[in-house]
Amino acid sequence: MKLDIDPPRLRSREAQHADIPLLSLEEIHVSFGGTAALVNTNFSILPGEIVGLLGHNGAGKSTLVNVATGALRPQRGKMFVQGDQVMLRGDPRDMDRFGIKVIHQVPALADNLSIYDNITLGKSEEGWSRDRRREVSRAALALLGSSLSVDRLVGSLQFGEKQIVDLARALSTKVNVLLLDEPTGALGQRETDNLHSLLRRLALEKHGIVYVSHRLRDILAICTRIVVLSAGQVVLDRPTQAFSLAELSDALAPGVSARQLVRQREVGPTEEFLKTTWRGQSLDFSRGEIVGLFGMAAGPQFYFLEALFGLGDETDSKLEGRLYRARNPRDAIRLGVYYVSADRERDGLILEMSAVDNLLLPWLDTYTNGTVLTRKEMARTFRDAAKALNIRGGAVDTPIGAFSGGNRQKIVIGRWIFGLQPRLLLLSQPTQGVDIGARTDIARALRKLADQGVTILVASSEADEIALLCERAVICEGERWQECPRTELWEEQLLEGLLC
Amino acid sequence: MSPDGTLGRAASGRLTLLGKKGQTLKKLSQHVQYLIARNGTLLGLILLIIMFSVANENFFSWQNAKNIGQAVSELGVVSIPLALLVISGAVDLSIGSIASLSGIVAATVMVETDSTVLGVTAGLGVGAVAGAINGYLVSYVNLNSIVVTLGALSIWGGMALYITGGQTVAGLPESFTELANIEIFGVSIEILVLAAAVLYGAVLLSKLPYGRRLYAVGGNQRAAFLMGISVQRVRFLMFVQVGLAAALVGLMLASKLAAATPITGQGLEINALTVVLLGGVAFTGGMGRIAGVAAGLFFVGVLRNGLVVTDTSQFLQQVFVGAILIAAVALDDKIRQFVQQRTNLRTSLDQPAE
Repeated sequence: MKLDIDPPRLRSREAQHADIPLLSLEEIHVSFGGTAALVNTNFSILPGEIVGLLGHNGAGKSTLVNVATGALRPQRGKMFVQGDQVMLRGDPRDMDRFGIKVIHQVPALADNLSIYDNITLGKSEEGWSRDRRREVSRAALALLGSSLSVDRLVGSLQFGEKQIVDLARALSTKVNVLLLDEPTGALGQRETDNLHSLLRRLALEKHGIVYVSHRLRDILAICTRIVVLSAGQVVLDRPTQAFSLAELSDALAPGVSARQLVRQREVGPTEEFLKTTWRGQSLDFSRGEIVGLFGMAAGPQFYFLEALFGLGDETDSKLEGRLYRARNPRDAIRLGVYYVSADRERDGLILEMSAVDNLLLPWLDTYTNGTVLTRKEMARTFRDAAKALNIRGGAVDTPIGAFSGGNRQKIVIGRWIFGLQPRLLLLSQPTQGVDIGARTDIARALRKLADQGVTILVASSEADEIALLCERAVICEGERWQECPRTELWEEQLLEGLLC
Repeated sequence: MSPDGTLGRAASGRLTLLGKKGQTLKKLSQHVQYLIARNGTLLGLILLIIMFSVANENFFSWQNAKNIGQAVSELGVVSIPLALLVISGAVDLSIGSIASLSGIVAATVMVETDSTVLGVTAGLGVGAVAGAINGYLVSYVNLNSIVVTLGALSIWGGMALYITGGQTVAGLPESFTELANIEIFGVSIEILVLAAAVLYGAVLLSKLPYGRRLYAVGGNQRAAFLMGISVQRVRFLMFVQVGLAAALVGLMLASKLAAATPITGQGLEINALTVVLLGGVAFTGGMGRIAGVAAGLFFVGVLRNGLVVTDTSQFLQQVFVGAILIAAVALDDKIRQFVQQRTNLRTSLDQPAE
């Protein structure tokens, strides 16, 4: 029998004082190469607080989280855990022992192992019997309101499901401070609500929660205090009540409100463009419209897009009156049907390669003088794309890994806009984990594309993403998928439609 | 802002200028560090040359340089395509056996028909077919490349021994053995072939769409597939090229020795893989440059030659090469981190802040 060894003074939550921060970072300074990511940043969290951390991509949120969890060693600064100074050694295991846990945007799980292995791996439970570990895992998942079978391989899970497993893993052992980096990025409304009530419960038990998100609505719904970072410095730090939505929106992307961008277009005479039947659902799409396919996290709408792209079971489709059949992505791409996966790190990027290569990989044959690549023309296209999509953070030959999440996503989407003209663009959660500025850039580019007659299908489990990007939506749930036309209270109706 | 920069501004205009100058110098030295980190093997090579030159005055000469070039030419001709294959995320361990078998088949055909052209064609044909079989099994049947080519190493090696009964095939036509003696402007054909191989690799990797696809397939196979790149064909073609290069080496050796033995190519695959990894190509695929591989090749060549010239035991060279390989790969991770940091720097240098 193994003992769960915790530092005793951290164990009893009653003994601690409410005014001693669970975690406190002072004058933290981090720079990469010549670029400063954090500049004398101070951050602390009291027991029972849920602190929202907001900021643009590249504002230093992730860097701050990485310092707190020991993944990154700052050049300068001090760190205190419950009033005691601790060494900043840049070793995540130290922080793990103090109960400082992190949930990353991209779940760090072993794809080739089962869910219960992943949840109990590397912990004292590892030595337990298989049944015991399955039991623990099931309980951890139940805490999150999930009933996933614990025997499934993690590799077979959808992105949202993986995130739930990752959360369950963090919550299965002692937690003091839980840092969540874009936790709801891939979650549907029901899972998000579950997560939020769970976080509130943890806060009531005097845990500290740091919540990093681009979704203002989530932040406002759950956080007790909000810290806004900009260029590596804390620019605002106030209780949530002292903020208004507009104010926060403005702090993040001055002058641009996401809502402003959505405009109802005159729906012209509908020209039949794509007729498709898949798993008993019949759907029609017109030329140049942006249609949302709304459903649960890991819902059928994602598989539908994959099917159209030649992955998974085939669709019975007609594109512009002609039989459309794609056995693999190559076929689809040849016919002008392009797809962006929700998991851009796994499916969309070659991290070793430069930004321009990542942008233009499918079109290399069109950038030659017969045999040799014409780098100048490639660079010109990249600059065009960078201008149109407002891609920042690097030049043509900068490795894609040096760009922030939002800019990477713009490159992944730009790949299909700045190559051969698309006919049908399939996007899976295209603005997931992307800040407001990047969201508006992407929305604007898609709007322009639709105006040129390209039909765009957006599969999502987020009502606000659908509302931001789309003109009409289909609720992909149940026997018959239901049309849900755009109205004033669209988001609410979409959610209702899904839950009924 | 660097400390000296801030100080400069606080004091006076002239000091500010000095501060800026200091910063420029600092950035320059960071550039140099970046170059060193990216070209670790090249630096090691230069150090090695200096060492041997000091140890023996005969080492640093034109003649010795030619010796080294000739000695590594066969190894280089297979190392370049092997590097491309490793970049694409696969490996070929059957190179040595393909070289042996190609040499044997070519020699046998030449002895029987007395036709150099027929022999050379047969030899290269064996290489292409052997490479195509490897490529088919790895790319289209989806078997692991280490397993497949380890099997092929045994099969083709055994076949070479079986065909000849373990004997050397001699009595090759003069028109074939003369090929090894060709010189153009005083440069031997082997060195020219090596130069062509290096040029081929460099152009392919950096200038052709196919080279970009090799990186893409090796870096993230799934993403490459979703971008419509034919992952299977990219790797298949690379296996065929490696097979052809191995066959060419078998022919070069047969021509040079005026005979073919069934064990000519033994150990070639391991030496080539050593060169590739020493050259900074990631074994996991997706990363590597031909300049690095060339540096790795000459590193091995200079080390061997230098140890002979300085009268050190030849057996020690194997010990050295092995130790240096492990050290190089161990350092690789550190270097990569360093390069990543410097890349950020380079970005900021490329794009002057507004």
